[in-house]
Order: sequence, then C-alpha cells, then structure tokens
Amino acid sequence: MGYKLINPKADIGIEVWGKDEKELIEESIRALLDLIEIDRSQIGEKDSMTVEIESIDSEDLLISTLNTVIYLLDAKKFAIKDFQIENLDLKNYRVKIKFIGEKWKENKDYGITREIKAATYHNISIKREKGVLKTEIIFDV
Amino acid sequence: MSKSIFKKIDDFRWMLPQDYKQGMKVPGIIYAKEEMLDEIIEDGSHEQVANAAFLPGIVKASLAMPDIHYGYGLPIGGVVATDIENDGVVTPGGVGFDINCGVRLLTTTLTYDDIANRIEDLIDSIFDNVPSGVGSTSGLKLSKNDAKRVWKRGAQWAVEMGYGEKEDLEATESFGYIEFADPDVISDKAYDRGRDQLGTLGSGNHFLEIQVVEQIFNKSIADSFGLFQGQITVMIHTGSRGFGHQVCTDFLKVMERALKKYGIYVQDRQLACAPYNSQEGADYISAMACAANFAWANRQIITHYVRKSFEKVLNTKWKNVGLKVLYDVSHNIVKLEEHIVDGKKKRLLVHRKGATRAFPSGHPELPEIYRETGQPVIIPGDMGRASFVLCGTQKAMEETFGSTCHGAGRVMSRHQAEKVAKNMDVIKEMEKRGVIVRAASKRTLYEEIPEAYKDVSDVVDVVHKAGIAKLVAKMRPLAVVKG
Repeated sequence: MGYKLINPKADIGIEVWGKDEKELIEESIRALLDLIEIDRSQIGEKDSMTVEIESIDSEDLLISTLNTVIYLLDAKKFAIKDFQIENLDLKNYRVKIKFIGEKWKENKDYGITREIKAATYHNISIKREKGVLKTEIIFDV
Repeated sequence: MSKSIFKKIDDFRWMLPQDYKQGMKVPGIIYAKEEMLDEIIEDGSHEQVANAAFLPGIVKASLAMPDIHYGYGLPIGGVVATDIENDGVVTPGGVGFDINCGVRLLTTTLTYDDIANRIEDLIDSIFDNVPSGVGSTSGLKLSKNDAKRVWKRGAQWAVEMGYGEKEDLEATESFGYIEFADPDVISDKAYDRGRDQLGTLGSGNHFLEIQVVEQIFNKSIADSFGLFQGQITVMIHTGSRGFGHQVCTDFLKVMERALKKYGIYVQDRQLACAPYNSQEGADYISAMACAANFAWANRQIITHYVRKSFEKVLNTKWKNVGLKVLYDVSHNIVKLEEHIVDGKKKRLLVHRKGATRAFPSGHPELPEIYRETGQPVIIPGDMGRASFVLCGTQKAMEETFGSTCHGAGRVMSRHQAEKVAKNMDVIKEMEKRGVIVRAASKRTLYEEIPEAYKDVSDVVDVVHKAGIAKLVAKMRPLAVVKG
C-alpha cells in the first residue's frame, strides 16, 4: 500500500492504493495526516475516540472517513497519533475506527502547516488494477 | 485537444457547443481572450463547464468567467443557473466548501503620504488583532444560542453586538444576511467546527491587505464610490471558515443519496444535487444561508478589529479616518434571483463558484447608495500586483445572470509554487516590490507567491471589454496579512 501526491492547480490530491478496502482506508488516513504535516512524534497516546461511519458505497465510505478525520482535528481538537480499524462492514459500507492520541493542548505546537477544508467526491472512483485497489482523492485546501 | 473545440462568439466569448458531450442540456460559454484558451484546455476546466451543463433545470448556458481554473465539480469561475419551476436543482458543488467566501473593501480618508511611515505598525497591529493561520480560533466562543443568532442574522447580528454600524450593512451584499437561513438543519458537527472560528481569517488564499488606489479608470463612478487616487483602502478576503466547510461536507453526503432517490445522473459526484423543490434541496439552501450569514458576520467582526487597529496606531477614532465599507461581495454562493430568460421573467437559483454578483444601476436588490451607479464589484489579486474595483452592468444582467469574475485564478499548483518559492526569501522579495508581508505560516506564503497566479489585470480586462463589469479603480498592495 502507498500513496503519492498529485497536484491539481487550486487544490491538492493523492493517488492512493492498497491490497483491499481496509488498506486503502488506512493509507488514505495516513496520507491526510502527512498532508497537514501533523507531527505525530509530539502526540501522546492517553486519549482515544471511537467513531462509526456510515455510507452508501465504497467511495462514499472512504471520503466520509477522511472528512471525519478532518472534523476530529478541526472541531474536536483531537490530535491523532494512530488509529485502528476495529470493524469494516463492506456489505453495508460501515466502518468503526478507534483513533488514539490526545486532546489538543493549548500552546503545544503540533506542527500543522496546512488547513484542509474537506475531502471531495471529485471524480472519485475506486478501481482494481492488477490486484490492487486504487483511487485518486482531491482535497479542498 | 485543440481550441477548435470552441466556437468563437466574439473576441471575449467562446462557446462549447451542446453536442460537445452527449447529454449536455445547454452549451458552455467561457469568457476569455483567445490566448487564454490553450491553458483552459490543458487545465481540463472546460470539461467541468461541460459537466455542469448536464444539471437538471439548467438554463441558457453553463458559464465560466476568465479566471476559470480546474476545481472540483464546477470549475472555479463557474456560473450556473437553474429554473426552480422546471425541475431545477441545487448543488453544493456549485458553491464550494468555503460558502460565502468573499471580499470586503474599506475606504479611508487617508492618503499614502498621510501614513507612509505607519503602514508597518498598522499591519503589525492588524496581525495581532485578527487571528489568522491554520485552525485559527478567536476569543469568541459561541454558545449554541448565540451561534443560531449568527446563522440566522449574519452581519446584522454582529452590528447589533457592537461590531459595526448600520451603514456597514447597507454596503453589504444582501444587507449582511439571507433571510431563509434555518438553524434547525445545521448539524452538531458544523456547530462544533464554527464555534470558535468567528472573527478569524483562516489560511490558504485568505488575506487582509492595506492598499493604495493607484489608478482611476472611471472618474464619475469612482467619485460616487468615494474612491480617489492615492487613497488608502483595506481589503478583507475570507469566508465561513470550518462552519461552512462542514455544512458543505454534510450536504454532499445528503445529495449523494438524493441522486439515487430522484434518479438524477451527474458527470461528477462532486456535482451531486437535489431538486430545489425537494426536502434535500430546501434543507441545503437553508443551511447554505446559515453559512453565508456566518461569513458576513465574520467579515463584519474582522472589520471591527481592523478599525480598532487603526484607532490604536493612529491614536484617533476610526471614523476620523473614514474606514467605511465600500462594499462586501460574496464569490461562493447560490442565490434565488429573478432573471429574464428567452424574454420571460424566471426565478432562478444562480450558483456562483468563484464568481461575483455584478448587478447594474436600478436593480431593486441594491441599496439606495448604489442604485444609480450599479453595484461595486471587488476583485482581489495576488499579494504582489493589484486588486480592482469594478461596477456591475446591464450586460452582465443580460448575459451572465448578473455575474462577473472573482479574482486572479491560479496558474501554478500549490506544490509547484512551493518549489519555486523555497529558493527565494519571499518576505524580502515582496519588500523589494514595496509590500510588507506578515504570514502565520511559511507554507501559505510559499503557496501564495504572486507568480502562482494569473495577472488579475488580464482577467478584469476581459470582463471590462466583454461588458460584464466596468473598471473603476486599481489598488496596489502595501502590506498584507496572509493566513
């Protein structure tokens, strides 16, 4: 699994791949955390937040998951160090993820250099190529 | 692909014929100079113009302004109007995530010579007073009840709370709030994201700038607007912050489901939509209005902080130096407006995504002060070159649903810009150009170098010559706060 940056003019994007949906979601979350450049070495592990995400198909599941991550960072002020997918229901397009990290501490520099407004549905399409699931994701910055 | 895909209408209008893609309900029309077309094609943004032409209820044409560039869903610079009495849809992708991102211009009675040696102090004070940068938060922590008041009444609420004056509202599009905002359709998530972001600039391309009027193109309108050569102005460019982003995110999910429910086909999922006459459509419009109102309150509160900065540095009441709102315009919004289509008056949902309303003289929605001249149109440029004031025209009303361009438009991706900028000292380079820069983050500074943008002069030249706004004045930046 992995990802690489793609560069539309106004926004920012990634091409991401994994052997299955679980890896694709995991790698996309990692890519998002990399994009905002949050310094995960600075984040403790004492808090956790578990979220359940519902969607209508695989693409919606992926985008909704990323938008949940953005919400946790921006609104819940939850600095994410790590995460575990606890349950992935591909029949009903649901996922349960435990995020590990800490509640934002005022005056602590988490190194974030980029504000991402949202993950978009722009031309989103997950395809299987040579046994690997692949998609592009555009973020609005 | 070559520019032969376009049919020339005149020197500034290029048609993407309806048969460009099977299923287009109307043609596309792009406002541009011929030399801009190659870039548009290379960019792929003409495809997004074509995609929007599939939307149910679209009338006349899928339009794009000369600052068109590739976005998601609708291109940036896109204008789409749908007929609400003819299955017209509303699409959050036709507005964008930063709902009611817009620009406000404050005029002063000061000239450059009056404050030449105080500009650095002024920008430092503004940088201190207005929270900016990634995830910037303000001292205003909104309770749920206060938040609801902001969502309902926008800048009106801010003025009632002491962040300005009634005259500021007169000089704000829609008088600072849209009536049909309904707080009941707002999610807890959206409330959470906006609760401590009111009165903040944010990051990305948002900025606050002290400028000087460098050139007057239309003396009579400039006089009416109170603009004169050598005058100091202040420009505020920001939007609805995390609150608006979450509203858009929430409703894209709603619209994804609505596509299936109403059997609507879209070319790009980011254009997911619902009929205006549906619960989903009505709810989005009510929520969008809440976010638009949040943005107007945001720019109003920032105006207050700017006035406080001038008071502190110049040691006088802000009114003594003017600091009047010339106008506040939105460039990411959808509005219900009346327009003439094929000789008939229609109620249309006009989506402007990276496009500015440009109503002409005599339009009933304009305040008294601009009834004779037409509406001021504020066009921000990049931080090194220029910004402009234009005025709305009857031709815009006839051709573009009363719309015109919104800014410069990028020519470099953020990554490209960062690569170029890393080899230079941006702050020093800007100083050489006579612009003092304060930035919350280096990255924004890199991504926002002037070279990353089209020259806004070329963009406004097209809309002026095409007649969909007329040039009034040009301002040069003196000092900038970047988020």
